[in-house]
Amino acid sequence: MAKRKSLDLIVLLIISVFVITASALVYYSLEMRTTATITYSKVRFDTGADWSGLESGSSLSPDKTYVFLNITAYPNATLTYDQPLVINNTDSAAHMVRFRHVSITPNATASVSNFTFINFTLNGVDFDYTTTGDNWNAPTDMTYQSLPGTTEWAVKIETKAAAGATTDGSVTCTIVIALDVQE
Amino acid sequence: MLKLATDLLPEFFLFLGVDFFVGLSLLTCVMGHFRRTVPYLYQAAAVFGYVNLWMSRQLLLTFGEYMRFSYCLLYLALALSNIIGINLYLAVVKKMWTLGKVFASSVTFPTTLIFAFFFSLYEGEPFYVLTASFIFGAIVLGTGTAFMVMARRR
Repeated sequence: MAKRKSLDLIVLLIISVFVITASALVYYSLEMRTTATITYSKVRFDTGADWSGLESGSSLSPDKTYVFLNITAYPNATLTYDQPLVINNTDSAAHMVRFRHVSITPNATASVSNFTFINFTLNGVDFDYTTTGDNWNAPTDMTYQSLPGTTEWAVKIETKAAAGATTDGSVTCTIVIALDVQE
Repeated sequence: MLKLATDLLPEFFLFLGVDFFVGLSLLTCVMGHFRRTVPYLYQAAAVFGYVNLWMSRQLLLTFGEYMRFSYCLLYLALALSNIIGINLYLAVVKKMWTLGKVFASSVTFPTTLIFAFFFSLYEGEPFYVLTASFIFGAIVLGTGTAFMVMARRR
């Protein structure tokens, strides 16, 4: 009788250890949490040496994650902005960065034919918007480039309008480009 | 409506209920006043709690927090009511008053306190409840020990 009771107790103890351990593991897996902290962006925009050469209305957001550049184009002449803007890696570690096309408006209208190209260059890699008739040809996403730690890369912009383009200020276009940064 | 004022997940009640059932299973096996199947039934109840916990994790997004709280609390209440039931069985049905009192002070009251403490975390100020629970627990355990000593002297 006592032997049977001991056997029961051993079996129950083994099951108990299993059940409690398994329950604790499941509860622990429920408990795992994520903490998200807001910090300044490590890779951000900054004004370049030629920022003053931009048209009025250009602006940089206080947290330096958004920039609005107001640029112009001359008919049948290339206008170059050498360093209107820089991309600044404030982190000590390198980060992968690239330009990604988001949108260009207006498109597929007669006014587009007034432009020839609007080219952006980052670290020697071109990101070109060209026109074919009334349509814009948007660039494919740039391949990621390694921006070394505590380094600035200047963004160069070149613009050109078609010969005989309308110059009364009524022809404009808006380009939205995203700067992708890998952590 | 209960206000969830703590980081404690509702599944903690399930975990606590599993522990209570496991403890009850071992106790009923050691005490020897019950049928042989009773400890195994409690062990099965503990396994059921584990399965419930696992399902709760799998369906975490489907079930709302109050639904999870409800079924977890129900399981814990079931475990607690079994402990109280065993206590009453020993004291009333078996007429083992001394054992009933010892069981009440060493098992039933502490588990009820633990239940009350964690349940109150969902509404009250934890530190005040913790202090009050410890003081009350010390009184109950002291009374229980006194009963045990008195029973041995007789």
